[in-house]
Amino acid sequence: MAGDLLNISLSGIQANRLNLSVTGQNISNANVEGYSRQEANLSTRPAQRDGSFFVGSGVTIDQVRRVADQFLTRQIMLDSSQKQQTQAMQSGLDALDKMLSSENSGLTTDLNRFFLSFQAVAQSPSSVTAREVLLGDARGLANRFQTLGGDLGQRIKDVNQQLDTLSGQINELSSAIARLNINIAVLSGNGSGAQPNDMLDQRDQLLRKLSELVQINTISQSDGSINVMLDKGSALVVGGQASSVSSGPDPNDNARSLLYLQLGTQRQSLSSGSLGGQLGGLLDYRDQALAPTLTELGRIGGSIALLVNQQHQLGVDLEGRMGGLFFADPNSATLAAQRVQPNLNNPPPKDQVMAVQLLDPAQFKSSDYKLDLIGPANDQYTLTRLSDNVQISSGNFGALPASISVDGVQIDLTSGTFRAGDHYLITPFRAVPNSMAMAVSRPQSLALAQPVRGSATLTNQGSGALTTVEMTDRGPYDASTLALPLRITFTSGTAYTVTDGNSATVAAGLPYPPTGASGMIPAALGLKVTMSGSPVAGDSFTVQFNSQAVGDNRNALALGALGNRPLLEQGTLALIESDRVMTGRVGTLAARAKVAFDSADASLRQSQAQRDAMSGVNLDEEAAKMIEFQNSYNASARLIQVASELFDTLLNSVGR
Amino acid sequence: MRISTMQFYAQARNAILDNQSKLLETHDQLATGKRVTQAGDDVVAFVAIQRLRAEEQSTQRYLDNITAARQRISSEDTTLDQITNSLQRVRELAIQSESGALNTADRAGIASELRALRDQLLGQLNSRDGDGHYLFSGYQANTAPFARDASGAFSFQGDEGIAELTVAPGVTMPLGHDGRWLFVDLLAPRNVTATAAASNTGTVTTAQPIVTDQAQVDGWAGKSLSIDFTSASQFVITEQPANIPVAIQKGVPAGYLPGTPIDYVAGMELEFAGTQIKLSGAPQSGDRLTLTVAAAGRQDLLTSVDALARSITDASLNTAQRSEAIADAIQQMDASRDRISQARAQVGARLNSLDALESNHQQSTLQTKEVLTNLEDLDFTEAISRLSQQTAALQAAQQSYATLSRLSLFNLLS
Repeated sequence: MAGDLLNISLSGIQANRLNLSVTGQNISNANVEGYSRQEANLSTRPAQRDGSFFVGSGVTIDQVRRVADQFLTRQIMLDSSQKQQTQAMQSGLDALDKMLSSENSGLTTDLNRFFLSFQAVAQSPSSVTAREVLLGDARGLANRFQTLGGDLGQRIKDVNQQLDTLSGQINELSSAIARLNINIAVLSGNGSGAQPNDMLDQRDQLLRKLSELVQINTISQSDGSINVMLDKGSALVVGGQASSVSSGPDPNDNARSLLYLQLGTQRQSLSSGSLGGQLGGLLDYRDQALAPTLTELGRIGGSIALLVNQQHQLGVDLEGRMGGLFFADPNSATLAAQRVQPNLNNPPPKDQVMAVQLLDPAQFKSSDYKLDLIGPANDQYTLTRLSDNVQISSGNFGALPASISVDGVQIDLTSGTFRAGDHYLITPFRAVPNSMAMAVSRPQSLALAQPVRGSATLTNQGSGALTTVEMTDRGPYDASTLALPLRITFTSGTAYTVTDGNSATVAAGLPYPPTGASGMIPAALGLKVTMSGSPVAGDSFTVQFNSQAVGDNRNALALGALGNRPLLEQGTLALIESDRVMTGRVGTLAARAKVAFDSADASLRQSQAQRDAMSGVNLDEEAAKMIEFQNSYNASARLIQVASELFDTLLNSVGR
Repeated sequence: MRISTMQFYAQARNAILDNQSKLLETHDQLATGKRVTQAGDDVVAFVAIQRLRAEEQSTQRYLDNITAARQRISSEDTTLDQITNSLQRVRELAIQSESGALNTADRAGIASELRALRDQLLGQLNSRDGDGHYLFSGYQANTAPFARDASGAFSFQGDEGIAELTVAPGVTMPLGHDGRWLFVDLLAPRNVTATAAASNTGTVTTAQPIVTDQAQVDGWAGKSLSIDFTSASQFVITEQPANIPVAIQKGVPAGYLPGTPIDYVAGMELEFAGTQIKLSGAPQSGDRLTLTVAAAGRQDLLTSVDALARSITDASLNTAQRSEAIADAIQQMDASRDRISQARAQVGARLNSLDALESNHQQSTLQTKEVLTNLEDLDFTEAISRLSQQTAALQAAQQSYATLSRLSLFNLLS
């Protein structure tokens, strides 16, 4: 009987000692990240029959288990992914937004200054100093495009490099998880039902770190191991096996890297859109913010270069020469050829000669394009605009050289082997910012005057007067189709004849007032001449080359007015507004990313709080338990003493 | 609810960090004075701010252009004023030279002053603006508009271009006037020419008709006057083609009725329709002399002054011819003065509209600034009260942390 009592009290001492150990473990791990508090599960030992009744036989220790909820652990993993994804997006966009919004680093200041500079030089078009100022402002604009383009390109490269670093980290984490899976399976699979609590905590912690990098899905296995899935089902960890991920170039687009999963000997690319975590956030940032902004910047730059060049070439410079290119030609052979990338997986020979010309700024869309040769004929194609994923052109391009025109852009297929199944990426605007440069360098070469001027013959008897004399197309002048000076001679008050500098009749019997859009002169000559008043028979007017016209600022005014004319987006957007659209778009993304980040952060905090509420250690609680267990231990010890005294009493009484 | 110790500390720590970051944000706003510093802060406001800034910059540009335009236009005005004064003096001298009491020496004196005025006018017409550009040579700002060749003839070297500056969105302001329109494109007084019909059998002829009243002559320009000899001793004067009898002012007896034949006397002088003729020779019946007005020619201002100076001292001219020349010159001066007045009226209007535009721009700049302030500038009162509120919150968080962190059951166990 005393033996029973001793056993009972011994079991009490053991149980409470264990409880104290668990409490001690909880207290010492109170500040360990990811530690789940543990508690010992005790149960009453089965009673023993003693005659006609049962007597208890003490307490037994079932297991020491961690207080953890798998649902909460998963929620935290999900929220961590979400937070890291939004944070990568938010911090990137915030920096981009700051750069574009700043008066010092954004485009706005230089863009406004450039167009206003034409207004300033219009005050004294012959002043070389004023022309130098204009050149300086123009260079400032070109440099700004280069700086911004370079910066955006660098940010894209940075993201590509980060992919490399992050995939290394993912590999470390996944192989650590796989090792733990093995250990846990061994330890929990020995039939005792005991849980390797600390390893489980450790694995949860690794999974959480992994989910910060990339969103994962976990599936618990019966042997205690956990399988980890990526990207809607690609297995990263299966039991004790971890696959490795790596970054590599996108075969479609050499400017960006993709993430690949190594499955045996095969490499599977992971779709960028559904990765989640820091990795997914960085890819979103690159593909939804950086790349479109670079394209948009290129579209603005390309439009400015084309429109300014066009107007500048319609002018005449201080030395009486027709205007040359103002900005470097955005359609130079080198640049045009760089805008096409054949897919790396296209079969050889890679002898295709292609080019992309930027033609009509009003039609430009801020987008890249995908040209797919879909077969069965080798020249059958579809062209997809990637910004909205719309197939905008399809058909057969026919015999080479061929060209496909779309959105103000012309794709030239000059020569080479084109085969069904080939893919090409067309990036019309990506490289434009980096290639923005000045073509004109001497202030004297700025063509600020119009090449033509008009004059009424002094002996005219009628009241007719020339109101506009402008060149609208220099082609006929360059081709000498237009032989200046032109002479308009009235044969009556309502009819006139036009003769050219070679005294050849250009047109006779034209009606006055004229009906055509080009006014008095046939449109084919590239001039716009308008008149007012009532001329009489015999009156004549001359349109001549504007030599010595150092005081003429008409082309400067026309160039300055380009900025405010709605020349983009089918005539709805002015050049100086275009950067506001770009900045506004980035700002909207940044604001949205901040809201998303704040909400993801709050969600994580909340689920973390829930998890901590359940699994975290409360020191006060442990202190109370410690007292409780200590007292119980003392009581059990006392019981031994009582048992021993009982035994002594018995011995003494017998021995007398 | 159960709270873990780590969670307890973490939350207290987060409370402090959150308060600190809000405080820093407010501090940043106060330091820059701006509520919106990047597009993400408030996209709508930021885009509006950029638009307004661009507007402000272009308005500044327009104001600058207005100043430049005003300078140019004012210097044109001053020059036109000086030219008007010179013309006035030419006119006075012309009137003075009409006087019959002048002797040759007096005329020579007037002519030499006229030549001096002519040279002065040449200088004034070739005036330059502050940048050294000729005011009246059109686009060819470095070419003198008027030049005199070796023979003393004047020619216009410029063109009809008028430079303009943009002074408001879509509004351009011409900076001057076409020098040719101002000083060259002036209608010369029309002369009357007489021709004898080819079928004439007599020898009747007239001296070069002299215009005595330019207005009357201009009145029948485009028609002709016929002197028809009904016999060797009588003729009638009619306006053709309507065949209307012409009234005769001088050279016929008082009470002459238009349409009645006039007796011919060789050497007789007649004046009608602003024209004076002197008939001579022996007419035959059926002979006809036709008077027509020459087509309107143009004569530039300098040439007119030069011609005046020459005709005053030209001994080959008789009195009537000289007075016609002088009258022509006066008329030219008047035409020129009218043209200049017209230009100066435009100059005045331009200066007025520049003033109006300038005050418009200044007004709109003020408004833009105000809107900008509303959009991007910080409400300091609000921000400062927010700052003190946040400071208080931070202090409270710190204090409660300090207090709560001392609470532990372990402290009470001994």
